[in-house]
Amino acid sequence: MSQLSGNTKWSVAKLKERSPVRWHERIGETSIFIISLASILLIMLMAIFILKEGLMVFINPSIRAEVNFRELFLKTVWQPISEVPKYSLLPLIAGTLKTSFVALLIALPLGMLAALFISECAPKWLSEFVKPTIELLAAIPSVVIGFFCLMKVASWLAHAYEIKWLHDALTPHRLNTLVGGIGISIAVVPITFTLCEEAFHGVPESYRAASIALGATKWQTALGVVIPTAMPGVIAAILLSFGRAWGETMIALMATGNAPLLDLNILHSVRTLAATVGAEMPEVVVGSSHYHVLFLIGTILLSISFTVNGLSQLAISSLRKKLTGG
Amino acid sequence: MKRRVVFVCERNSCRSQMAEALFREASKGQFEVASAGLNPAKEIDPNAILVMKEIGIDISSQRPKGTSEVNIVGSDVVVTVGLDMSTDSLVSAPYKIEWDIPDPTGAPIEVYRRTRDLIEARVNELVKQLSAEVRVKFRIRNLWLHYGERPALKNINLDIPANCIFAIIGPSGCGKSSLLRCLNRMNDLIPDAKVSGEVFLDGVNIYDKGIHPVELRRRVGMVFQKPNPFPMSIFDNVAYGPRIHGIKDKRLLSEIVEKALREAVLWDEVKDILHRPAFTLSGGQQQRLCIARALAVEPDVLLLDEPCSALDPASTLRIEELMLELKEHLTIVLVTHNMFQASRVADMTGFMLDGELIEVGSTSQIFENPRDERTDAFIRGRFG
Amino acid sequence: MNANRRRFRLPKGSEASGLALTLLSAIATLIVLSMLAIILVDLGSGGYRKLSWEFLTKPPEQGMTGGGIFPAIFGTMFLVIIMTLMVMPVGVLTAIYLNEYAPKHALITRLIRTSISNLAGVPSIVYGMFGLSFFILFLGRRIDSLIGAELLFGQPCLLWAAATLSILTLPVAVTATEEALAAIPEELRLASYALGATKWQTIWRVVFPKAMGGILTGAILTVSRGAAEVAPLLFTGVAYYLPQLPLSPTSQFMHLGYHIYVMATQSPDVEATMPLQYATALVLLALTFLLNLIAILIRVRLRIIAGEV
Repeated sequence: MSQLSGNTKWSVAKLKERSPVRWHERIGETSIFIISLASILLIMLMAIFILKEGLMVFINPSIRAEVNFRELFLKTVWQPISEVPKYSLLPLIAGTLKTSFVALLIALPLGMLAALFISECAPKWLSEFVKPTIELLAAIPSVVIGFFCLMKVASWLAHAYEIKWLHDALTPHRLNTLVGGIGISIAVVPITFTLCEEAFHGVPESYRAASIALGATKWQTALGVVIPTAMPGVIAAILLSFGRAWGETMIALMATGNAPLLDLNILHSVRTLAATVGAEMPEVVVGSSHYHVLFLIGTILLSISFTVNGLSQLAISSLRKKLTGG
Repeated sequence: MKRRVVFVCERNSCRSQMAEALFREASKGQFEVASAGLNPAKEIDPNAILVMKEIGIDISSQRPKGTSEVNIVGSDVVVTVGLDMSTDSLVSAPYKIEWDIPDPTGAPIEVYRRTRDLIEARVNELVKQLSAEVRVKFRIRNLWLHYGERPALKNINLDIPANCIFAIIGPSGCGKSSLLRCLNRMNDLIPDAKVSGEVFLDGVNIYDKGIHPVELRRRVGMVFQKPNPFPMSIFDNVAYGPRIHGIKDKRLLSEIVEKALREAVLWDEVKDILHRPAFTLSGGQQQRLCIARALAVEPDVLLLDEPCSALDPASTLRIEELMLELKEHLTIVLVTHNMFQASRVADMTGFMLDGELIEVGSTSQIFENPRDERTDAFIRGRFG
Repeated sequence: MNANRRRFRLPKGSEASGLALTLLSAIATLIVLSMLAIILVDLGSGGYRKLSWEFLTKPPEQGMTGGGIFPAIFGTMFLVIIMTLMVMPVGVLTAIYLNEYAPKHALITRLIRTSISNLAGVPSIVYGMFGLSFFILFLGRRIDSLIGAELLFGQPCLLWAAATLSILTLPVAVTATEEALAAIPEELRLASYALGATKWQTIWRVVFPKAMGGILTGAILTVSRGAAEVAPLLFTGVAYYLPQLPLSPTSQFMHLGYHIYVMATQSPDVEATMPLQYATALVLLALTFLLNLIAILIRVRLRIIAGEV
């Protein structure tokens, strides 16, 4: 024990000594701080390196000879590999909007209703089962969903096209906006569900109790109290779902047919922005006009995702304020 | 550990040297003594040697010291012998005493004699006072604690004697836990908590700049309301403290663990299951484990924050017995809402209300004969 | 009596519409669940016949119409392992900073959090473009000219693909680890501080070991996310067919997801390779599901243990 006393017994003098500088802890803590700055550095590098190549379209004179603003946004043809390459982004933007629209039309109602069901109606054992199951749905690789749509969904829908009037009126393609939209909706639904469920779950139980004590039914409470309170969270969910649908690559690449057509027919093939990059980037000559136009597409995708994310952050922080009263 | 007494005087320091010698003689080595002058002469005053020799004390071998040579900041008692300047700028010490004794330099030997007798009388008085008094562990002076703008503790002044159990009682939210957490600077961990005032532990202000809270907490252990064993084995829980303070030797560690567990009266119950996870113990055993864990770093003081509020009566009784045993070599500060507990174990009790310390006294006085009507109302409200 | 009772009944319409809404939302839930079920059944029934030990351990044969997918499995694993080694340390340390050190309302904390949530929202194909322009063309080419190599790092390869994926999965790693750290009760930290431990000692001896289970769950989810992504690989190093296994980080590699993509969209005889495609898709799906199931099981177990305390 004498050794122990030497080690841990105290004297005032010891307390008064300037405490030893723990160098390894200081160094460790500083490195943790520096490493945690990596995410800031990475997002900045990403913006710089995508923008740098993308905005070259408007800067480099030899590219400007080939591509200009009019060509990009007012013409209607995307034909990058031909004698006279045509780089209009319009059909691609329209295609992306079309597929996203279809995907959200399916995913949003399904996801929100399911979230309402789980947070307001379902018994605990059921939600304990459903939530991890939907997590599994989110874990399906998008290439597998794309494969499934390409193989099965397209074939199932093809049976419907055998109806003559439908066939004549809409001249469907086998791979089209609808197939792609369904596929993307499978990828998006878990996001909608999880974020909405979180928002509904965050509404304090006391709000529900107050409403029910006033004689409201469960659904009157859900529609009149829960949804309005959780509204910013729901908006964030919609925004982030849109962000995911807009940038989805593999499903679009495999299931939409990839023809850059500019029309409103959802049974026609389309080509989305992300799919275009996925399909053409591996073949492109680094530094060519085509290469820089693809990076311009990347710039568009990146700015949309930043915008969507920023707006949803605003929505979520307003929800937090609402609930904490701060 | 000896308390340190320093005498300081102006200029040539013959008075402080005389005081040092006389105090040393009178206190018979109970204290660590030093003296200093602000502007010391090179040689010791020959008249001072002369008058001291008359009463059989030889100070001719001493050398006058300057204030820079003597550690005044680390002293428990600072006595200024006829110093004109304010001592506040000199030092913060729990005891600050000012003697008005004029400087005899240049005066005839008679004046020196009178000065000697004056100092001797004062020294005897001081020695009597210091040795008669119970050793004070914590001396709290003008302590304020703010959480943001809200004051949680308002001007607390309190002395906590060593080797006793001091209970703090009061309604919930009165600041008793906050006060406890000031004693080992746990409030440092709360971002907007601000402490002002002084808390001396054995004469050292624990809020001084040079004091690192980590060093302090080793000396002032703490046990919380809810048993909170670490997610490790029983052994590792108790060995945690010694380990983080650098003890690696396995044999020594197991000695410490056994000693701490014995002190916490838990050894017999767990000696065969030391390597089981700590959460397999019952609630009362877990709390005693937490006490053992705190004891393993050999603290001087143990802070107990409602240690029994989550326990059944039988476990509570065991922990109370344990406290009475630990008091032999520890100072215990106990926060409790259970007034029976305070009256059963505590030597002294303080009653708090709304961040203020209303009344402090011996436990029997507080419970049987409270002086303040608010204390009376609180105690009767609880008992009746 | 009767009249009294009627007064306390709700208007008829609201009861019926309530029932309808319950039914509707239940059906929606059922549809979502059935999406998973249909995909599982379809891939399972389409792929299980082709699944065999040979399929998992042999390279493709006869111009991809026969043989197995071993190189693709190997490539995926190799890629994901390198990715995990890159992302987990950064992710865990960032989470430790955010949960243990970061001042709550400081600008730098908000910047880090915003960066992470932005990273999480960036489409995966954009990561691929970043990998190409930053890692390959910028970093790789520079390293090449520095070490005087002809074309070693300045081309699509496993190293850069893994680096790209590790940025993509960084938000997953950070979020999961932070959740695990936030779940540690504050009393444990206080107990450690009260024994005179420093913040550093508290984090590494109490908080981190206790959070280990949660961090492991996070790591598995990160791996599963990384294994599922194909888009960022399209031009950062994946190849359709390679005669040799990629044994160096600077070689190209085959990948399960890419294998499915190419066979389904670009093989000359889709009908002939259909069973192979199904089996490959099934293997990839099984891999990610297995990882997720393990993560879910660990989480359930942790919750049970936490309940016992």
